[in-house]
Amino acid sequence: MATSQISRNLRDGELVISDGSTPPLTLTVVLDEGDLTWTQRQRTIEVKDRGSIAAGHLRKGDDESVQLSFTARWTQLIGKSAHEADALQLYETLMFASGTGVTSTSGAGQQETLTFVFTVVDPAGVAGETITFSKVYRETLTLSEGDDANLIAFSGRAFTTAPIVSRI
Amino acid sequence: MLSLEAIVTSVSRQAAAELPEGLAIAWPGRQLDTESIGEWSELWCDDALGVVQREHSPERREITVTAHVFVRPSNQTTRVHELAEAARRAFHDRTISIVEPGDDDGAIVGVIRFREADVRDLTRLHAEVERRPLHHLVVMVRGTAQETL
Repeated sequence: MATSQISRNLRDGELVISDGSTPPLTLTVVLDEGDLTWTQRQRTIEVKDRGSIAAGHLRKGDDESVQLSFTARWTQLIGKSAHEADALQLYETLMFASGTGVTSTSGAGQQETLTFVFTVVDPAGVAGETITFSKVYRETLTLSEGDDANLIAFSGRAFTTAPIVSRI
Repeated sequence: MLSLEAIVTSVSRQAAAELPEGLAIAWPGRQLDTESIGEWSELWCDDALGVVQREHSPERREITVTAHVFVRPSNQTTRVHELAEAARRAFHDRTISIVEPGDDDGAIVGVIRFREADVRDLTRLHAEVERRPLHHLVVMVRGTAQETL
């Protein structure tokens, strides 16, 4: 059985962002704070029988997309969009900046989306996992100054009911 | 991977380049006979603390550097302040390169970004425990050492 009892923590994670190009452009987020958070919601309709739960029942509600967020430290905001030879930077990737070549994973005319792949390695080396969020779109991007480091805070949604979790 | 040796050597190089030429300096791990000299400095790398971070991220360490400046009383009453200011300027808000000591090519493996430096005067405290009068100022600065991306 390829399972391990060692709890994972932020040291074990790695977030990679990829776009819709063939082959995809990828960016490993190397300076993230290790605070990736996502929430999978399930909507349920409670049907009560004349106010009674005991005689009532539950029905499935509408699908709900996955909410996710993470924070990363700044180095520079733009690289490839300023100079083609420079490395792609996080901010310009999330913003689909002109000159970066970052392409949406959704079709033309739709909201721009990316794929987030979060890998959590097993410290015991037997049961690493990847968590793939498809069709991730940006809701807010908050940039803030700080004493130790300036931060980029991403908040958005994956247009799927749950990420795909698979064994490495 | 940032080695402690590389961090301490890089800090020492910065002090050597910025402190007044000819000033006797007790480098980390070295002793200095101060009986016959009127002024000297001691450089300490007090700590290099690990930072909680992802394993694949460039390694970071929080470091503290302390420079002690000692001057025996003379007609130059502000000499101790002059030396302390030189030590403060050597590190205050400065970014220095980290180079592996044994690397002849001098490849940069990281940088240390220092924050604001603090200066304290311990002369009065010193007078309570030492028989010979001595001006003693301490410059302390914290910074972040980060492996080059």
